[in-house]
Amino acid sequence: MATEESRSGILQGTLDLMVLTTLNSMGPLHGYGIARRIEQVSEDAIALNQGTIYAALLRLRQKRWISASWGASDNNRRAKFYAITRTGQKHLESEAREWDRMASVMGKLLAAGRV
Amino acid sequence: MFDTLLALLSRLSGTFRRRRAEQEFDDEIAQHLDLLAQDYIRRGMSPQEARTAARRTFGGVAQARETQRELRGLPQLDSFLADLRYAVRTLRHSPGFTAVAVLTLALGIGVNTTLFSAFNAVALKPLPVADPSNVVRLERWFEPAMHGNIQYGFSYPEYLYFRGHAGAFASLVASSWPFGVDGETSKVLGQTVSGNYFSALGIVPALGRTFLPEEDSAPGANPVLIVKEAGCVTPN
Repeated sequence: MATEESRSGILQGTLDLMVLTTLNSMGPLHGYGIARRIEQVSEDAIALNQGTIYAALLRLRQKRWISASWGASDNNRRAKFYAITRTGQKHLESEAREWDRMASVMGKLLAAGRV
Repeated sequence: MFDTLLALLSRLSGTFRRRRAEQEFDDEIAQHLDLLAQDYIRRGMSPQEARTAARRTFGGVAQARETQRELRGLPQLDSFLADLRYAVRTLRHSPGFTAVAVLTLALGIGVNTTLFSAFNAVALKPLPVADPSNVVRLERWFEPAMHGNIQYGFSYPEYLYFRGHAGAFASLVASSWPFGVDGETSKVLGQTVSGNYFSALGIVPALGRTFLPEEDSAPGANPVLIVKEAGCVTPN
């Protein structure tokens, strides 16, 4: 089980990427769905202040990386659904590559340090 | 005037959209909190507990709202609008003061506009001649006297003298003060001018001709009249 420290601390700017990749793999979701999905995939290692999701959603919308439209939710209420756009997918691709690169560099460095 | 109105209108529509966006965001939060609470109820909490837990998981609702507002708009515009609303409220409370202020402004703007139009017509607009930038007016002023400066006209012999001796100018034209001419039906304004008036200034008549050089040979010998377009009447 993760400590309280690592549960709450999300690297600045990573939430936007988490939201983007979630929308890319799951299709249109409302804010709650996105938050739940991120927590599930991270196996509750990440416990969001779920309200912060909406700041990320607005930032992404302003960059036209996601779009929003009103639809009916599971409990048949009006809910706002977010979907990734074509430019959002392109941005996600390049950002994901950058993460992979950084992660492998960090992995090598840390492995070298352990010897 | 028109752009100011447009700017104000777009600002107004901006606040309208903002109010709607805030309403939508409130709906979104309420929906989110409901779904969270239902989740907690499924896990065995009482509705009361579930609602509290949902709020805790969501984090600060007011804070989320504030963040949205900051991301959405221009804070300067907000404070400008707040100032504007305050001003309108204050003015509405004191109609007398408002009336005086509005009247003062209206008078001030009106006087300024009138003065500028007059100044523009007299001094700023180019003269309707061929080469307005090279036309100068020759004036004679006397030393300040008790009743202020007095501008004196030149006599015709003086004009002839200056015309013969003013080497700095290509030509020198003369015109009298406007004077009234009584017609059969109405009174019109006329001016006597020197024979070279139209040719020197490069003014071409719409119809007919201007003065010929030989018509200027002897004073009073050739009374020739040129009428303005608006003054043209059918002769009979």
